[in-house]
Amino acid sequence: MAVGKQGPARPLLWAGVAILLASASVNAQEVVPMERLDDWFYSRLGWGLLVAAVAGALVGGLHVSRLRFPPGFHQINNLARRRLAVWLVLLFGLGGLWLLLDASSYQFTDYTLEVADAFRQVWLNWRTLVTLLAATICFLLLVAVTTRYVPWSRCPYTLWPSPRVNERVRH
Amino acid sequence: MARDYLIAVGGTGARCLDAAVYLAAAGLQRRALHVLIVDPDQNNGNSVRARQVMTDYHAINVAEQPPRPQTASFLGMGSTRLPDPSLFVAAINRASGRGNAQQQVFWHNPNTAERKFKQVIDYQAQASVLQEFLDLFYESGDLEMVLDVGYRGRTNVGAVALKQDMEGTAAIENSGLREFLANLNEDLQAGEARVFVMGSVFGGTGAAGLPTIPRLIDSLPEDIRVISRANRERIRYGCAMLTPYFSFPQSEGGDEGPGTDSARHAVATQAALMHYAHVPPGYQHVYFIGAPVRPHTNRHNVIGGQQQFNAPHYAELIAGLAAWDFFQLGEVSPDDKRLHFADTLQQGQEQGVNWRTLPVHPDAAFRREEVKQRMVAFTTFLYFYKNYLYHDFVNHRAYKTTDWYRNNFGDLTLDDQGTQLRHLYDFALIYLDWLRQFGETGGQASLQLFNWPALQAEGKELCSPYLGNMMYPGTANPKHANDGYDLIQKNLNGLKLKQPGTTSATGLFVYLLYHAVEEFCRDNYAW
Repeated sequence: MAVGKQGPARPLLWAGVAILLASASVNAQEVVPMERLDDWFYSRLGWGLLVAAVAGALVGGLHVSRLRFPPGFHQINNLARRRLAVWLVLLFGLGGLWLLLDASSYQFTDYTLEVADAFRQVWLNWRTLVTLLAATICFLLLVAVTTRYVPWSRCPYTLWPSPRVNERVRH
Repeated sequence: MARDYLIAVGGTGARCLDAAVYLAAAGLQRRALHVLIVDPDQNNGNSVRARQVMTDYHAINVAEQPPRPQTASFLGMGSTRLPDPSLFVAAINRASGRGNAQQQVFWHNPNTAERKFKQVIDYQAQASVLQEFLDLFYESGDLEMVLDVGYRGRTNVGAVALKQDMEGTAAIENSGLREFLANLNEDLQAGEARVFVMGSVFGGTGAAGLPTIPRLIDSLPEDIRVISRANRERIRYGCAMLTPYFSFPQSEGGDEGPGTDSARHAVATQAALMHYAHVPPGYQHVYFIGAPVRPHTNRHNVIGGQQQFNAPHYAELIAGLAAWDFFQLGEVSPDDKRLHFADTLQQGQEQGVNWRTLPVHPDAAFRREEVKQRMVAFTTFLYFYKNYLYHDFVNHRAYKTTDWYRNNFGDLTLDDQGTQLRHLYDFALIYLDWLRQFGETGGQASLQLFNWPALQAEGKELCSPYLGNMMYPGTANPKHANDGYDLIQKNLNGLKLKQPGTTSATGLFVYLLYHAVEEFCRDNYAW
């Protein structure tokens, strides 16, 4: 069997599938009303997008686009992508943690939920995944735009498509 | 535009020519040049290298850079004009109307290597009275001297043989001299043209050639029809007379024929100058160049040939600047008799050789700053290319993934530019090695131009601290001493031209890289 290099996409995919399957196995509706859950979701989706946009602008404009060329590097778009992957993992984790803590402090009913309940009944839900994915997309979009257009950027094609080069070899 | 004409006589002349070509490459020479190396020693190490430099230069010169470059601005609205190209812009011996060919830069000596001096003057055929007369001027060693490696410091031999041989080739196609005179004649139709001659006054070939060249051109028979009589009067002559500035070890014997001895250089110079004082050689402007300390520029005593390869010396750079100065002069009257000289003293204090004491014309002292800026930026450009780009380009095509390539090259490609990139690399190798040796031989003269250890460094990591620190310590206060690599790459990758403006990928690359380096240097050294 050929053993190939595993990119970050596959673990993320498995994590998403796990969340979806887990959310199907719990009955959050029993305790948390669906309407409240939706309210929470739409509210957190909005905030998540806003926070992700600000984070994307900051990470893109102040960190990734200011990366320095190490001696011998001719372009740093790849280096910038690697740094961005670290930021993504970090923000995904922090975003997830924030949603969990937020769910445990949010009044879905007359009472706030225990962390374990919040985890099982609110966090382990497709809505969390949607919020995180939407925030990630927003974050990447802002990173793409800032790295492409801030005047000091050293890596404009980190996420923005670069012009094609001529592959023709004249003889 | 009329060309400028440069003649390098002998090994020293060839060394000065190297410097003149480097100054031209750095952007100090804008008008086209026609160069002729006159050295009967066809395999002289220094002359051979000068020819190599010229070949590399020509290959880069013909790679056309964008003539009126403009940057593309945000969303394609409007544009900003960038400076015109300045590196390698002066064509050297580029044939007019024949594509990109380079005309001969070396005077082709048609004689066999076994020829002796007595054959030149037809000694055996002379009457005995005349032979006895000739014996007063030439010892038997001179008469029996084989002219395969030049005139071995014998000016009395060289003056006769050189003039005779050059006259004989003035009308021969591809002799080098024929093309030189034909171009000169063509330019003289439109007005004045300037001829600058460089050579030593202490050796054989240089001291023989310096007074010979103007006289040779002036006295060429009309029937040769290379250059008309009326046109000859419109030629203005200048020369760099190099007095002793280097030495080499004493001969250990074993060479056939007369040898060379640098201990005699001072005496030979005195004799030559005495002669020139009595019989002025016909130059309107004479630049007198020497050095107080005479370092060894060769480990061995070599009479000529491939092994006579002397290390460069800063006096040669001064000779190059003299040529530049002469070509920049305003009007030169045929009756002018000007002697140019300079020293490095200020109020009696020795200042050493630095950017503030490099000799330039008193009326154009501000151009000293231009010399400094162009030389430093040019050196940084070649240093960057040699140490960081070339090998990655040819081995990995590293340019393909760069932003500057993707943004600017469109239909152009560097994939098929291996030969031109190699010429640029060879030029960088020779130039940087020249500069390194130049720093070594000038060590005793307090040579404060470049950061000399930078030129000893090899490898990407070791070279990176010098990219923003190329000037002699204490002569500049670089803002980004440790960020040179990063900032040059940033400038380069940030460049986006509205259109390539050229069909040469190498020309476009040279322009982009130099523009990035120059921008960096301006910011770094606060020019």
